[in-house]
Amino acid sequence: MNGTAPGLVQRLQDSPQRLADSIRASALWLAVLDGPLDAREFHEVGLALTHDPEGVPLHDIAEALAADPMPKELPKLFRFLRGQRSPKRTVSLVDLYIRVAAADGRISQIERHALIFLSDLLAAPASLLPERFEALLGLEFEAPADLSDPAFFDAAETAARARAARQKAREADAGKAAQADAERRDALLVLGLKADATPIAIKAAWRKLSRQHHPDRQLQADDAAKAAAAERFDAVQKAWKRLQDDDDA
Amino acid sequence: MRDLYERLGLGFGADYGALRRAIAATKDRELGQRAKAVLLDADRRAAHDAVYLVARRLRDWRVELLMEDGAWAQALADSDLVRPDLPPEPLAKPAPKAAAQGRPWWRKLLKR
Repeated sequence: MNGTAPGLVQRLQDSPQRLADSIRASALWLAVLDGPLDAREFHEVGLALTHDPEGVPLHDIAEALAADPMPKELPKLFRFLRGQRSPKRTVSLVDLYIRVAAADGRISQIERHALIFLSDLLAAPASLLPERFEALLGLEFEAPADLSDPAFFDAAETAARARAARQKAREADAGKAAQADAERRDALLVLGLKADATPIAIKAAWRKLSRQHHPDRQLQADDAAKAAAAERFDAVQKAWKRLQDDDDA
Repeated sequence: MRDLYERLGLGFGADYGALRRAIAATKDRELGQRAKAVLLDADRRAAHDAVYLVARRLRDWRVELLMEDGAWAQALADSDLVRPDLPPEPLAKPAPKAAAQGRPWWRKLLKR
């Protein structure tokens, strides 16, 4: 397995389109870091740059990195990318990395660490990553959680227990299960989303609608519009709470 | 995120006994509490280690690529796993070896 990765780094170095292939490889590395490569992540990388038939095939890069996501030779690739940085390229690469990390619908803790690393690799200012994150996904960038703090696990375990209890109650009663499904569909409809919406899409829709209908934003509106906005705001918050309970968000 | 292993003076993958001894020997009460709650629970340790392994390697690469002064390294000033230049706080004296722990607990009481 480990024999594949040095071959990959060497192939990238020898590629006639070294920069484009190296960018693809760095994006695919981000995609495979937290688990098997998702088809949506692969698709996102494929869309990013036009492929030259003489370059290293995307599948070869993905296979090599899936076999060993952290090969010792990888810093050579990062050193090359760091040497090729420019302000314009930095923004487009940060955009690409954010899109790839979010393609599977969630941003994992490992991806947060990797995004910060890649942002520093490109010598981007600390503000660039949150700005682009907000612009592309409509979400606030959260720094990686402190997994050395037991409070992180306490909160996660409490939420998991509550979810398991709700799930058990639904399984025991078919009527409750049907009602829960209907409530979930309604909550997604309130946020203007389809049934297969990802957690990132749900959170982004909640943030957008909350801002839009927040009472503090209705200062110039008449009383009827204020009341309508308040009602809509409450509905959005209820839908968000409902989806959070199911770990959809 | 704190580097619990390094602060306890242990390597990644230390066994349960070594962890317990190091936690008992540490003078840093908060570090001991954190390590006990996170590393002595198998599920929590697995989740912690998956992230730790990647974050630790990225920290090593920061050194290799001369990225210690990165903007995020400054922003996350309290994270051992982002700031390679942050001095770790290992134990004042190393954790006792397994052999020294072999004595029954009541012998220690008799010695007093």
